[in-house]
Amino acid sequence: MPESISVGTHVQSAPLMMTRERMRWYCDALETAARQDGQFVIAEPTIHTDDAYAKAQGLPGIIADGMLSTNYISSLLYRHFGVGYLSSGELVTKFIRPVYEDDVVQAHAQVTAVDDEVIALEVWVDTADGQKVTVGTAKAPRTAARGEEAA
Amino acid sequence: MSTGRYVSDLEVGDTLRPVTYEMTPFIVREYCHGVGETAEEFHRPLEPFGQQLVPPTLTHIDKIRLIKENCPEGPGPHARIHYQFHSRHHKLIPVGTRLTARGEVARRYEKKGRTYLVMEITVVEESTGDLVMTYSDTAILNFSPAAS
Repeated sequence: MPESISVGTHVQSAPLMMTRERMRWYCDALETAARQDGQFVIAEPTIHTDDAYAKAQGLPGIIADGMLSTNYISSLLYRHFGVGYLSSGELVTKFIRPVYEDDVVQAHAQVTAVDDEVIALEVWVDTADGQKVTVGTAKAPRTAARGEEAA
Repeated sequence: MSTGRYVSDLEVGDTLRPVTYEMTPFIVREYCHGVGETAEEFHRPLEPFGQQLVPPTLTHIDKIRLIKENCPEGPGPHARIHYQFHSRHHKLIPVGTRLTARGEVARRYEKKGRTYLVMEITVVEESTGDLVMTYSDTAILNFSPAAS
C-alpha cells in the first residue's frame, strides 16, 4: 500500500504462474456466471482450454484469456486505490502478447499524473523475463487512494 | 441487421437485443473464484461497504450475455480473440438488483490482415435507469498468429 501518492509511485502484485488450471477455471467461471441459473458449466474447447483446438489455430498450445491479466491489474488497483476505483474509476487494457502455460506473470501500476480529483496510472502485466504482455491505463478518484486514507 | 448467427457477421450500426438479468451473489463469487480474487468483500457483504462488492471487470460477462443472445452460433469460422478491454465505472454495481445490458457495434476495421470489431456496451439498473458501467470491447474476429 503506498504511503503517499505521487507521480512515479509504483505498486505491483505477487507473481503468479499461469497454470493450465487457472486458464480453465476462468473459462468455466465465465460460462457459469453468464448462464444465470446457478448450474456449473464446463466451457467448450477454445484456444484457452484445449491444446488441439489451439494448435489448429496455429498456436503452440493454449494461451490465457486476456481477462485474467486484466483482472490481476484490476485487483491490484482495488487493493491500493480502494472502493472509489470500483465506483468511479476506469481501466483500459490491451493484450499485446500471448501468455502461455506456466508463464509467471505480475501486475503493475505506476502513477503518471495526480490532480485534486484523479490519479492517472500506467498499468501492465509482464512475464518473469520482463516482457510486457498486457498494457494499458487506469484512473482512480484521488479520495479513494488507500494510502491517503490511512495518512 | 446482422445478428442471429455468428459474431463474425456483425456490422457497424448493429444494435444488439438487450439482456436483463439479476446480479446475484453467486455470479460475483463464481467470477471471483475464476479470476483468483480473494478479497473477502467480493464474496460477502462486509462493513463499511454495506453490500457485497463487484469487480468492474465482471462487465465482460455482459458482452458474453449479449453475444449468446444475439449470435447463438458462436464466433464464426475462425477463433475470436480479445484485444482490448475498456471499462468506465459510474457507480458501485448493486448486487441483488436487475441490470440491463445494451450493446451496439461501433467499429469494424481491417489492420495487418486481421478484422477488428468494437462493441460499445452500457449497463443500467433496470428499475431506475441509472448508468452503472460503460464497456468498450475490441476483439479480433479472424485470429491467426501468422497474421502478426
